[in-house]
Amino acid sequence: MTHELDDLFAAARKAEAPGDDLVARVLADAAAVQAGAATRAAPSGGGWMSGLMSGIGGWFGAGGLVAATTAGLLIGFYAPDTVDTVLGGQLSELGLVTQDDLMPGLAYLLPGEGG
Amino acid sequence: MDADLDQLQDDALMVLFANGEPAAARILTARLLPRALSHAARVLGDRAEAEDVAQEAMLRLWRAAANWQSGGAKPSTWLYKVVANLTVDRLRRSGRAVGLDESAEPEDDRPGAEEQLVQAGRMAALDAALARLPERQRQAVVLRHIEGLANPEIADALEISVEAVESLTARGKRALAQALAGQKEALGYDT
Repeated sequence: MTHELDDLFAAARKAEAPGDDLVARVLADAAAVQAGAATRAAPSGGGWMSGLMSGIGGWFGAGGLVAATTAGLLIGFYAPDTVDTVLGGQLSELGLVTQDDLMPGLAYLLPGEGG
Repeated sequence: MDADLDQLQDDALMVLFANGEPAAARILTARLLPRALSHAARVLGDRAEAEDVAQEAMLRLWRAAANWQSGGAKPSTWLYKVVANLTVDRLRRSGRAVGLDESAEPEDDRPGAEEQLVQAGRMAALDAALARLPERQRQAVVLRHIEGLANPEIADALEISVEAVESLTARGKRALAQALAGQKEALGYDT
């Protein structure tokens, strides 16, 4: 039966040619997928980093953000009188810093205090 | 344009398809749809259902194109895997066996009608014998002996080892030969 079986397999290989209708349906699906991909492709291109950078104004914006963050950290880290010195006494002139304050520059925030 | 693209491998065409090239869809359809349809038809034994499965498998191929890794899985092997899964799902859902009378009957008044009747009878007998095989054996026999895939490709498509493929195809072919042995004369083969 082996020979007959091989003959059957060979016949089966040729038996199922797709009709025009099926080919048309498959190509219509392909066109629909391609059309959908074209409209979806633009916003998703570039990955998460690209999306993040455009959200904060590109690399130039990111540079400004880093500088501002660094300055904020330094101001918070050093005592206000040191910052006042760096700024040439501008905080003292505004009355925000006095040299003998226990918490220099913050007294005006407390209830009943000056400022 | 189609003639130039026709020289390309399937995975290169997948990339072109993802870039919106309509000719890539035509060539991939010409190459892969007949295989998907043939595979589904032999496993399901039902032409209409096989067409649904082949269309669905091709749609999944189109959708996969955008993320296709060039040099990774072959589109044809990937498609056989999808067809195998879709056909198994259908067989399990329906739990049916395929009858001899379900294959298409040719029109009697066409030239060569007798030959076509013989051929249709043989295909029906093959489908019926295939339908009696366990699912994995059936898939392996169809992919090996009708679709002509190499054992490693079948192993990839069915997600089993090459040794398992060899065992399934050997047992499947033996079972088919036994099932059809008593029908040689009825199928028009000399006894």
